Amino acid sequence: MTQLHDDLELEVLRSINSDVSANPAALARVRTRTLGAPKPPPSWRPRWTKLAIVAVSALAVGVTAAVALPKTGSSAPASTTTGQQAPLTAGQFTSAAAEASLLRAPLRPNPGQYRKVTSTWEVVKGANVTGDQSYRQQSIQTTWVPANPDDTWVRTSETWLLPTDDASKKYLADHPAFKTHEVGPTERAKRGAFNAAAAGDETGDWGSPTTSFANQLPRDPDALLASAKEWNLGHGTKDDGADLLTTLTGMLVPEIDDPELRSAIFTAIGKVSGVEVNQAAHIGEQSGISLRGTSSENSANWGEVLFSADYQVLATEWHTTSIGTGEELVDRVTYRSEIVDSAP
Amino acid sequence: MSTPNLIAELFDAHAAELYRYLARRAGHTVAEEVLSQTFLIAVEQQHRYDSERGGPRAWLYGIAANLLRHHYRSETRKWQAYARFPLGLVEDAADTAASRADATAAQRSLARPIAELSAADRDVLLLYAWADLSYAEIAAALNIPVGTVRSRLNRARSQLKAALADNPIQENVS
Repeated sequence: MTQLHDDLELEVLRSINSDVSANPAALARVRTRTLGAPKPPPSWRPRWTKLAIVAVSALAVGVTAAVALPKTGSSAPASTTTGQQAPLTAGQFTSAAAEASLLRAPLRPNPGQYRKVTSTWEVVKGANVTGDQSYRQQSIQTTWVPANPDDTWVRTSETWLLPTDDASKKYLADHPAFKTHEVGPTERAKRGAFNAAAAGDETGDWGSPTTSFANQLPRDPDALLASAKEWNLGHGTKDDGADLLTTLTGMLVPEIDDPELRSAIFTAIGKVSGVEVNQAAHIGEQSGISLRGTSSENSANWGEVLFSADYQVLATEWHTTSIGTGEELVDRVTYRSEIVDSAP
Repeated sequence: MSTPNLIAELFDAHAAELYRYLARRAGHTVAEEVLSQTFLIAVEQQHRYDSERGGPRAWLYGIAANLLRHHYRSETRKWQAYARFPLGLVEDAADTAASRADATAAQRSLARPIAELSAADRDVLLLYAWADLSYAEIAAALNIPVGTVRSRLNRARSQLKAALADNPIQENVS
């Protein structure tokens, strides 16, 4: 076997984006900004410039529901006679959610049926810019979860490139062969382990939730929180409100049919500082009550998770702002779930 | 040697290549941001620079690698999208739409395993493949033993090889 063949994967890797070059104008700006600026104060620290995005494979889903305050026990404040709602704390909301998760009988598919979960991800602000053209990328991932989650799951994905300015529209009109829609292969994996690095390695992790991973998670909220923090720190994120909210809510997925785990996750979220409740939240066309987590290093970076009346995740949205350019980037994922009789 | 001159010399010697590495990984906008932060930190912490430990490239790439960790998830999303769609990972000044559509199946087949790498493994792989750092330089940049560099690189390369084996090259790599 030749050396070239041995290093073939490196050669292919090196060819990716090999034509990218340094932007002279950007270099000049950086040089002026860094070498021409006064010495920064000793307390200066690097800041977030982008926030983590919820992985498309985080498939917590709910049905669109009317906004309603949780009416469980004593954990939620009652409405006043004037109709105004008393302020709700994150602890109150998550306590109510944790309690409801234990009481609520999950909607389960019958043998032979599947839970079809659809998540749509798109950049709603700060579209991709290629030269003088602007595009928005949208992807839809659909997963069919069998009634027995240890059986084979099925997953498909589609991606669209949508023109968002006259230049991109003109380009597409002039280049009709340019693909703006791509359908990925149909994937199948036992227990939802689509991202298994190797056959038999189905553990999953906080970023790639699987039945196997969920089964081995502790049900103690403190241990859950410790596990999420450890994963965050090992993956370049932090243990602040924004990142922990991302990680923990990523496991609120309907295919993880475990009321005790869901309850523990909500309780763990209630222990995270920097998470707030928005009782009149809107993400896209959906409204409800949301939890919002803000970056500890840059308050302009924050994420929001919108819940239905029965504490299913309807949508998530993540805002990041560049401290250099002031450009805001907003990513959004919306979720939908239904029981179906078959899968592809 | 005064503070501004040292960092200015390092900037003139290494900023362009560092920018290119950052842009290949996370796009031009992030590259400019992280490059700025890298050299601001370099100015502030230049008293900690140890010329006998890996050299200036390792020091600068190490600062940048730490900063780039904040973009791990957005970078992962770019790789995931690249695996599905031929549009490039990086916005560019040239009209690259058509050229991006020519991205080979082999290149796209690597995108998924790269997306699934941990931040630590991805750093080692791309510092080796894209920044052309040596094992010793990578070890100094990431503050890990050389043996760890070797094992992480071997693991990452094994995953890429497996992906290529599932998608044999049909055409010349562009």
